[in-house]
Amino acid sequence: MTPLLTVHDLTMRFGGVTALQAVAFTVQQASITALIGPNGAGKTTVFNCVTGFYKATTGTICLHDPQTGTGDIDLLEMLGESFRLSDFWRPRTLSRRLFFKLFGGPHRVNRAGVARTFQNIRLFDELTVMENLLVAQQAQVHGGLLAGLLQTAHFRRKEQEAVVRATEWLRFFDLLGEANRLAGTLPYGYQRRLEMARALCTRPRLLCLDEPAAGLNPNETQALSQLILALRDRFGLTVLLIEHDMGLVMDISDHLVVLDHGEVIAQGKPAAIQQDARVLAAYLGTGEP
Amino acid sequence: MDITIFGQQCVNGLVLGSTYGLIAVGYTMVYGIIGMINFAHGEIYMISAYLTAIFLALFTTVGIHSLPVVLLGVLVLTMLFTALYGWSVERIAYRPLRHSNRLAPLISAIGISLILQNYIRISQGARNQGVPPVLEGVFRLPPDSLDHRFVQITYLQSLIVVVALVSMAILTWIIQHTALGRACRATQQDRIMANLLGVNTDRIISTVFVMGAAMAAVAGFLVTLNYGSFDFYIGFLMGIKAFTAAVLGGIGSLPGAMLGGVVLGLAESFFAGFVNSDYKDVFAFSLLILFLIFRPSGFLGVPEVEKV
Amino acid sequence: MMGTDWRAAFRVGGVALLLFTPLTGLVLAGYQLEWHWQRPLWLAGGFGLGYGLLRLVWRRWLSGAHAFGQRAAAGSTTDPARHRPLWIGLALGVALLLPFFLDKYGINVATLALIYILLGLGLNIVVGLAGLLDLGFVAFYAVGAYTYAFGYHYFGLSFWLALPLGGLLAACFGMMLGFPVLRLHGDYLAIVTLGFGEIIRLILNNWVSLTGGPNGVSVVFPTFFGLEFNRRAKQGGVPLHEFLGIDYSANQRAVFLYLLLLAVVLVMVYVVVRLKRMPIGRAWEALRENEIACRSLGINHVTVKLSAFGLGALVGGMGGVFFAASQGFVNPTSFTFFESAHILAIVVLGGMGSTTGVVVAALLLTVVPEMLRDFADYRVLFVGVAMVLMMIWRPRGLRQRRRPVFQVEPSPQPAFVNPVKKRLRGPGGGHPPQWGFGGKAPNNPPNNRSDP
Ligand SMILES: Nc1ncnc2c1ncn2[C@@H]1O[C@H](COP(=O)(O)OP(=O)(O)OP(=O)(O)O)[C@@H](O)[C@H]1O
Ligand SMILES: [Mg+2]
Repeated sequence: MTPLLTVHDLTMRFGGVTALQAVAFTVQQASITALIGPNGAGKTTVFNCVTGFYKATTGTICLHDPQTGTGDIDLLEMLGESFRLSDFWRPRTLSRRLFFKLFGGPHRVNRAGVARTFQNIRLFDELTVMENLLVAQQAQVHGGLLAGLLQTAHFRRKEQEAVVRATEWLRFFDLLGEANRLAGTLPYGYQRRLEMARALCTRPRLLCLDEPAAGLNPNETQALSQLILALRDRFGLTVLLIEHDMGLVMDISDHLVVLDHGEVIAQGKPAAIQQDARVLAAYLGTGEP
Repeated sequence: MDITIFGQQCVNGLVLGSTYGLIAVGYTMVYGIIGMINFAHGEIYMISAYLTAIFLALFTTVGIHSLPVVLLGVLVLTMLFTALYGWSVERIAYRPLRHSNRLAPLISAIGISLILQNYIRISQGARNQGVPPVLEGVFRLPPDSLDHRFVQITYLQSLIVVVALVSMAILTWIIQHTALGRACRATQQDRIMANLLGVNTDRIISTVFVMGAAMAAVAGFLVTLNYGSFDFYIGFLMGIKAFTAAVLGGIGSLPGAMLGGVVLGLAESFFAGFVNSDYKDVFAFSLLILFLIFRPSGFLGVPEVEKV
Repeated sequence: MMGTDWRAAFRVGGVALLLFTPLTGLVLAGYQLEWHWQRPLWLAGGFGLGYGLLRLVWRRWLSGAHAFGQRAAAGSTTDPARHRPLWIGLALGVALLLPFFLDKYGINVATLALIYILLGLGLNIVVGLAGLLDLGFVAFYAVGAYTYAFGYHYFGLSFWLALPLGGLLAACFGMMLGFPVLRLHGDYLAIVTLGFGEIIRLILNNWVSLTGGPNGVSVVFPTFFGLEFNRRAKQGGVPLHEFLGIDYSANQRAVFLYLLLLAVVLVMVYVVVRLKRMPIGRAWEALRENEIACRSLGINHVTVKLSAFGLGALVGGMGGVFFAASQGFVNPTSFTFFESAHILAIVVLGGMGSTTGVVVAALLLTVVPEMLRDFADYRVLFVGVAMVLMMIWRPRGLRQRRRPVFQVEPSPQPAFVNPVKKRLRGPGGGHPPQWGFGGKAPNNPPNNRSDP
């Protein structure tokens, strides 16, 4: 087992509110890890920190790269940390800080290999399904401006590859028939799947799904769990998942992290978590064990 | 630096700032409740200047000459009719677009301001208009100064500051202590929830536009009496200035609007007095841009957190 | 049904009467009033009646048409592009031949129309595609115009150098403005750009020693490879008519500028049409739709926004250079807020994002007012009314924008495929996709997997 993501001592404060308090967990390579907890526990906040939308107050978030072995990618650094005095006699650190200050942000985290979906679906409503997927491949297609204007062979081949890749994911999520529909006009369940397909088009190593089964009927939820398992087993993807549907979570996840009031109260295998007294207390609202 | 010149600029700035503040209230309240800028607000102010002149002339024609009656009557009539214009703007440019994309209401409001400007230009003529001087007279500080070393405050200037303060106080009281104000604040917090709880949010939004327009009418009335002359184009500049005041104070905050107005008025009149009067508008606009970039929440506003 | 309509009409008439009575019925004349009591009555009656009729008509026909329009947009099977080449060819032919049938005044109007098309195309990138409401677009227009004017006046810069330089300088201004305002959303951005436009105008107006203030700066007419369009050479070159051995005509220079501008506009139309189908164009639209989603997909919103701002400004700047050349003179009155509003109106009426729409709207808003000289006073009023009505009735523009259609399966009916897409040869033509982590490509949905 090799870890892909390590979150250590993650604390997030909004003004006076402490949304996360020293959260720590690891996500193993090619596994499905679920993040559960009652409403307002801070699950989405963890996602936002991991994917770079919030700058964590303290802590480290590391993405490991077992393939190249070149070491870890510090996801927090990419958001542009504030300068420290000691930077000024270390030009390398200084220039890195400055670079990320200017050009850093969540998009860098995505390019490092973390993709996500949102709890409240965020699609490009006025674009077609296919265009949604092409936008996601922007960072990879990215020909020069001139190449696109002149439609060079290279540019066309890149475009073509992007369309093919999008087509494959559409087939995987059974959306092929909708490729030219406006995303905003899709039924709810389709939109959820499209958002996942779009995240996958960025070629992530870690896929973060924020309540993918919310609002789906039991059949759709069943199909979804198959899809998520296939992502792990066939493509070796690592999935981090927030979900309230305990049936789904217990079925598919390899590892569970339980949050309550911004703190990790338990983690482990699904069977062990089901027996955990603190978890039961948090969910059933009885007093502290 | 001569202390009297300094004092004079203070007075001018304060007077200017009070009118900015009065108009800024309209921007701030509308922004607070629907999260949008009312682009036509400057033109509402312009309309109120015309109404003031028209009602003044009307009172003279009818033959009412008692000054307090005329002033109060003109003020009330101007406020009423301007409020009606404010209500219509909301009804035409904002309400039908409540559920459309963000740009649509802005563009329709720009359309409305073009309409209002040209409607006035066509109906009242493009030339400069004016009102006869009323309430002439000045206070001097110190009162017994013999040479030119004194600060001069006209009766109208003091009236402006007093009326501005009083109307702000009344508005604040309405927002803080009446059922209507409570409904306004509820709608501001969460429009959908307020609606579910039985607040007629459409009516509340209308009311906010009406209150904003009425405050702009107070400003229009005071400024028109003070300067005596205006044209159909004054709303544009005044609109941006007042918006600047609203941003300075922290858009969405009532006391912020007044504070921002006074700060802007003072800054502008010092700039005009001591630096360069040609560039005082450039200065005000630069202030607006700098604030929007570096401190969009202004002095009293709460920083907006982007929720993901 | 009828009853409610008329009651509503009556209410509208009543409100209109109240609104119009003091401001149209009583007209200021010095400190006196003139009475025009019939005006508000007519207006109120007209509004009430018009509103009532509109409601009736709306319910009878238009609401149906509206629904139809939406249905057509959602999934049309007929291809509206079939006759496209024909129309484009026709329009091009007319545009090319037009100047030879017009008098000088006519050509000037046509040139102005082309300038507005150019400006509309530029602003369309910023507002229509990227969804950034820029109310100070005229600033870039002014930068372009004054680049040429100052360049000539102070450095003897020629038109041919000023054209790219004006564009680039405007683009720099665009990015300079763009960079700090990136964090602002819709309305704030609008105000900042508005303020910026005004700052530029006020500086041009007040810095008399540099800009000539309200008196402006004069500009020379462009030459054609050193050939001048004057009866006698003034700039040290050879007059064109002598070179060609034809008679001199005052029209020649206007025709020349018109054709040059036409060429630039055509290039620009091509560029914009291409951009919309390129990654950058899609990124602009995606950014307009949802900025947060964009960032989660690895798109750097800063560069994407800046590119929209910069490109739009570039086009605006070039429009400005042409404007200066055609007028022979620039002063700050050409760069008021109304000019920005006018360009915005072109984009809005054209249907945000639609290139054809922008062209048609620019023609409409420039040529029609010239033909209806008697109604010159009402021109801006109509622009305003059109903007409001468009937003209420069709916020997405008169023409629903066609989205590019992608062929995902070898389809039995290739006739429906958009010409641009035909060049893409469908799956199999390109390289195999590379999957996230070196896994194998999926073939069909994994529905045969059993639970652990
Ligand atoms: N931008 C923010 N500003 C202030 N407080 C925030 C912000 N984002 C989250 N919070 C607070 O952090 C806490 C955790 O919220 P979070 O959205 O992470 O919960 P959650 O576990 O995802 O809940 P749910 O299951 O309902 O989605 C809440 O109390 C919320 O109010
Ligand atoms: Mg959540």
